[in-house]
Amino acid sequence: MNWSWKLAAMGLMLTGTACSNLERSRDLNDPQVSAETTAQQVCSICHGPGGNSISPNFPRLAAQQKEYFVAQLKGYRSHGRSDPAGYEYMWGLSRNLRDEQVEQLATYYFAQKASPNAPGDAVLSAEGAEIYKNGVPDKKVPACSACHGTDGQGAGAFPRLAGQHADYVKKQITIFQRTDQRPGGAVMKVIVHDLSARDVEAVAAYVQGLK
Amino acid sequence: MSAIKHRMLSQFARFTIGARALVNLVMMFAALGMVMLSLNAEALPSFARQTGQNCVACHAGGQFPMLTPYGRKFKLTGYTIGSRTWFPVALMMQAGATRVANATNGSSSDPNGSGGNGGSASDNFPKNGLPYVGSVSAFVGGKITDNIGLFAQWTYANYDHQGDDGRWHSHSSTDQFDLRYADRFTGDNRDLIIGASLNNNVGTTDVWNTFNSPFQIVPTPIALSSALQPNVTYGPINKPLISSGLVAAGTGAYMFWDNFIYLELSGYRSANGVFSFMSQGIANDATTKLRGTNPYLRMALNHEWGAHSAMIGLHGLNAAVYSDPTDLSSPLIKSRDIGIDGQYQYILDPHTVSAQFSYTHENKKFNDALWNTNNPSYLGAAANSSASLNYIKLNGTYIYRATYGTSLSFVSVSGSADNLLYPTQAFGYANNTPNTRVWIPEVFWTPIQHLRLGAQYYHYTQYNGGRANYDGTSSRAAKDNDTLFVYAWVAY
Repeated sequence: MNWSWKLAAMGLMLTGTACSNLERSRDLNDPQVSAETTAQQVCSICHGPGGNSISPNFPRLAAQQKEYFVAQLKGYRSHGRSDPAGYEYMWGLSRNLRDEQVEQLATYYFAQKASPNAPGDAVLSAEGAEIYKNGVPDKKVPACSACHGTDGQGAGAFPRLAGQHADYVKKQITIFQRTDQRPGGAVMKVIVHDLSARDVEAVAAYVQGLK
Repeated sequence: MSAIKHRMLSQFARFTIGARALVNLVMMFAALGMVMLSLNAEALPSFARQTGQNCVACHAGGQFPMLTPYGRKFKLTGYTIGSRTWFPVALMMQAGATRVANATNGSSSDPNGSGGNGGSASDNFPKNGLPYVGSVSAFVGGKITDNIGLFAQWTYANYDHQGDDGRWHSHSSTDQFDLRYADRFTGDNRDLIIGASLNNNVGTTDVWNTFNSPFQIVPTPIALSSALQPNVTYGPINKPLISSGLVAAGTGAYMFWDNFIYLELSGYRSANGVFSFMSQGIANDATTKLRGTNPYLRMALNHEWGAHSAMIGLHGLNAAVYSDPTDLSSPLIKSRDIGIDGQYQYILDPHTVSAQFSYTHENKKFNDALWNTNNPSYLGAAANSSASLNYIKLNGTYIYRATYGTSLSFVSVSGSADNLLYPTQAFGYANNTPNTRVWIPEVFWTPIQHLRLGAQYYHYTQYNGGRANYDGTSSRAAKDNDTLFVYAWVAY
């Protein structure tokens, strides 16, 4: 037997043993891998350590409301939530997660401490604060704070917005306005329908600065 | 500026690919498009099947080979994110056409050769402007265990060489190979990735795609035209060893600490004996034969803020290469390559911006027998005891909605003069220097993530040491080697 075959045989033996490493596994189809391990080994790459993502491409998850979190992850898994970034990144990652893992991930992220995000533009934020706290009465847009909380901390099915990346918030509001890609957030379609592009920018800038 | 623009436009205008060839090409692209569009959107190449993600997750703007911050981590953690699949195979195909600006007066590397100086275009550029399927690659890639993953490529060249009967023969061989072991120790305040790799090419392991040969401007006409269009060039002929895509066996270890410091140390040796599986199908004289184990070092500082990321790094390779790959007692060339490189990326949907640079200096020292006329075993390979090369690569890319993109690259080689390394006769270095400069604008369209259609234009302002009449005997100018490359690139 020549050397290359010996090496291949060794490789196969190694594969056969399929040594799993539960504490530091990046396997997304293994019910034995804990949510904390998955969060640290996989989710953290985009969503940041403890869910405080750096890139506005990826929403912050730290201290996110559990009920909302579970609904989103299950929405990705069932393909119910189909906004482009959602299906490009999250459909696959969530496809084999078990319900218990989803619940545990929600618990893990709810328990994480949210780091403050950079405050948005001062003028925009001031305009956004007005909308957030009082709505836009002329357009019959209710105050965001009514559901998302005075400080943007969210409640149950209503997501935490405090410290969320303005770019992400802006894109989600636009998705609610223009598409049906997030049926779980259908209520938002009516609420944000009449917000102008400037209003959306303003409220997104404001919530990014909330702590 | 407008004069340059005018000149480039008139160059483009000269590329009137024959109407029939163009129709063939359009029909081929349309057929490919129909096939790809009919595929299930979830059916992705093997890594994507493993994670279930779209190409844009790992590749900046969805374009191979540039990696996103997540893509870099996917590679550094040994291709182990996701779920193991039982058929981790993907296919890639390149089809296209190349057309050189001046196909009638000599050829780029053989200006005075048999087909030169008025020889027929078919002698030098047998498929000039004609569409063809150049190569097909099969990949086996993916998670093997929680810590081990593989990226292996096997390439089939449709038109590898011409037989005595004039017919084309195909050939397949191993291409890239990277078997990794990786572990990641991470918590809220720490992050350390450590890993080891067994691979067959310097640079295959790298995640920034700046200096390395295997993954840079892609696709290139390389596989398409190596035999079909032997005289088409896609950049400088002479490159430092570290960027030349040498086939060798590398083993090494790396670490990436806190997303900030990357360190890699590997040793490369000849891909023979126990490592010969990494050079299967490649001719003995086409592999690089190295004496012993030769160190490769890579260091990089990485920083990410908002939608931005930046890297600045060093790369180096110290290697002793046998001057004749078929003779392991042949005199050695000792090559020392060291360089600096960097990358900037801005990725925020719908925009992707990427800029890269690398500068590599190579110093080669020749064994006495290779250059010293007084040596009893004098071989006459070089005129001087040493030679140097400076290699610069710049690239800027913009991609909109991971669909429409444009890029501009600049590649330059300059080096010390040597009338045996860079001879006037037959190879056309009138000034005996390798100095070459090329600009490469590109546009591309990715209607679906499996298919990319594009056009690259290689514009030479200097070739083999000269701008006009670079071989010294014909009137062939650097710009006569300008090449248009249109392609369809498919991965599934």
